[in-house]
Amino acid sequence: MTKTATMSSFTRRGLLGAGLAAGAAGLALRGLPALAEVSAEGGTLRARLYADISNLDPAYWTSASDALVMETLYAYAMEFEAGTGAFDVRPLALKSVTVRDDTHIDFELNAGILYSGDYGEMTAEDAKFSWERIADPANDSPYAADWAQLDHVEVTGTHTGTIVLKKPFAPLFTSTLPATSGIILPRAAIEAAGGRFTTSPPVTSGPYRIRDWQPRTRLVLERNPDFKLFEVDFETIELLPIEDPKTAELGFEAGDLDHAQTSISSIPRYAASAPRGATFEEFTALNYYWMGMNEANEALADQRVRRAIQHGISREAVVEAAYLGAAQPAAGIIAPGLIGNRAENTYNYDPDAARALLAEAGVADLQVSLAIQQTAEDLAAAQIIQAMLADIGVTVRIDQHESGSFWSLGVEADGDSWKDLQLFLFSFAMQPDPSWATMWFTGDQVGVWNWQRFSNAEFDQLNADAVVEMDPEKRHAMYVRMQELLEESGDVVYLTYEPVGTLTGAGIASAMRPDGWPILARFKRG
Amino acid sequence: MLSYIARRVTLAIIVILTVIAAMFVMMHAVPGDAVRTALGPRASEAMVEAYRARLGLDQPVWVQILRYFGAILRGDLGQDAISGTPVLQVILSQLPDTLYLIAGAMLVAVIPGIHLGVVSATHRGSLFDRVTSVLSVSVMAVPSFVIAIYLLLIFSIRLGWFPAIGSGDGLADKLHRLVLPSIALGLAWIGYLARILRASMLEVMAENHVRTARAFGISQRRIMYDYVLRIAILPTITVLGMGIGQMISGAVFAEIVFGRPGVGKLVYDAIANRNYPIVTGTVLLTTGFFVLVSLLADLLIAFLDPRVRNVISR
Repeated sequence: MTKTATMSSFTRRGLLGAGLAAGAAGLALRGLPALAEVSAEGGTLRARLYADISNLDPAYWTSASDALVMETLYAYAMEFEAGTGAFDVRPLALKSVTVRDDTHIDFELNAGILYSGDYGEMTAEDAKFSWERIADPANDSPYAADWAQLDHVEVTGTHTGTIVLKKPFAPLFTSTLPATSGIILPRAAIEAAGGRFTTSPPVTSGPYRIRDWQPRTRLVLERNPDFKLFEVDFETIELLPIEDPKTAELGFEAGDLDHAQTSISSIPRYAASAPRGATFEEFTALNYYWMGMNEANEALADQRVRRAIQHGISREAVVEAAYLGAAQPAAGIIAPGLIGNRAENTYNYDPDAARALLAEAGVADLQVSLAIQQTAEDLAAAQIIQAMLADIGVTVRIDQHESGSFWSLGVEADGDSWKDLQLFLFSFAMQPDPSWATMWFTGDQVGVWNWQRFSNAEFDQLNADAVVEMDPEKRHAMYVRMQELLEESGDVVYLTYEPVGTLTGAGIASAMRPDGWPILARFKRG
Repeated sequence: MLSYIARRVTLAIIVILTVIAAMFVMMHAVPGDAVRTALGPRASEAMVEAYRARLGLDQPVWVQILRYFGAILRGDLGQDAISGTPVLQVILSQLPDTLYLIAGAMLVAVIPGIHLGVVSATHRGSLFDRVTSVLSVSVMAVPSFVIAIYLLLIFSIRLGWFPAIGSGDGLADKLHRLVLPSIALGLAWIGYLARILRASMLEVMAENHVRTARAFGISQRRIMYDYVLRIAILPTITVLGMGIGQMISGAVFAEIVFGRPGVGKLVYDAIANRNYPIVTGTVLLTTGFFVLVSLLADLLIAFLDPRVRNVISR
């Protein structure tokens, strides 16, 4: 899944891209090796944060940046191992986890995990409070589904307890305990903060703690001397919120950053030649990218028309154009390395079949719109789709939207624009459990995030059953079937899983999940 | 003079209120709000609606506007819809970096711009004048963000003289990191100011009082700086007053390209996220700042030019 290249040495993106493309001289300059040496000086790791933090409460966090920072501030119950090709997990705050049966999971916490302030040691009572807090409907946590099957947590000792589930719950060990919903915090601290908090955690327990936060400028973390679960190499981590990856690339090349995720369009360039001394790594993210079709729209109501569009699009060509050879075509929405990853597509590029289906449906001179965001990838993909569909007699008008408008196009609560929505390019992020991919396509998500308005009883049942199915093989078969049903409906053209490129400076060993997620506290010198 | 200031302040308040009302209407004319961003994709519709109600976004626009005006009178600009931080606190945390940037860009623009304009006017038709004229148009024609990229590529990456991103810590570091963004933002204004001042000076130099001064045998240098520049600088001051407003807008690109914090980028991101309280709060403060600078520019002109002062007094 990963590939490493080590060398010896207004949209935001559009703004920078246009500047970079503005003259050959500038491009020539970029072709020269960077003179600035990148190093982690003074025990400080300087890394890019995709956006500033907005909420560090495990029950209410909002962005990937929040989750990235929370990983350094709190001792997670379990953690993902870095540097492996799979999403392997191991206990962290938990000393051991024993599956007594499908609904009773015994756990023991490591003794001596200290909270900041006067909140003492982490106990099983804290685990009970934290996990039940997220599950409790009264608390309105958006992450209640992570503990959907939690009945209660039984405390059996200072450090021991049992998670009692109403039903088996497969994501418990993939996207609950190793993720934010597994974080354990003391009741006293949360109550002292008024029940919830945003950017000023009342308590921390992880390898780092906040030394200084200047909103939208920098977040400086310092090593927590009380943290004993593993050794950290850097005394401080300085996180700079830089939303535009091109800016981050320039910052990295100038030596202002030690680690940064690159833009997708730069992946081929860095793969061919990383800045001197730097390590470039390439990953396949869990983010899945597809073209959706609104089956409730009159022009697309006939399944044969949607099928014709499926046959009219070469996924290989679209992915090549959008990701410049840095990604592979997908056959579903569940990324490689996860249960449910699908190997084969059912409806492939076949323009003759597409024309025949349109003729059979009695459709001629079909005109549709394709809604996209203002990104280089979306535009490139849309233009290829436009050209290919023109070949089968379908005229595509590309409608570019800024992100705020785009994300409300198919939401019923935001107006009637969903009725006019036809084709759209979509990308969703997810956690390393297949349930995160399929949950958006159920009947109850129609008009929320299910913009295809796909509704299938078998899909919904499988989606509910797969979460409580503990046999990996059966679970795999269920998720593959769900992706078949989705494709069978004609509502989607699976495109790819987005590539991720990262740059790491000389003298630093990164610690990455298989999807390119950096585990900053595990970064090492040398 | 006081009544003039009072009239201008009243006008400024009307301008600010109109701008805020227009912002509300425009923002509500486009789809989307910050609630889904604040709560994340997994929030239920019930949670979304409850949060919307808490922010008052379920109310008609006119109710929201009136409530907002009421809150302003109490000195309350509301809370960031995503993080819950007070808006004033968010803006004040970003404002200094933008003000430093604008001050830096002004410095880059004004000092060379005025000198080039004066020398070009006094050496009209010379090689210097022609070269300055060509260079002025050239730097005005190149988009500022292109200049920014080239500055980064040459002076940060190629030569390593300046940091590429961030606003820095401590005075020296802050100034070091301010150099490239200030040049990127101010460079085009050098040519602009030089050309305006040159044209204005040539006009004044042809006036009777200048000829009279020459007839009295006053030195050319004194005539230029005491008699000509004092009058010719007036349109430049007006342009600079307006220019600060444009620089606030232009700061967006500098803040993005150079990875700097600032109100430009703050409002840009807030619009994308439909973070209305931040947008309106920032527009309120930047509009107020712009109106204040325009007023100061007008007062400065009145101070420098007795003719204007007399008109105002009447």
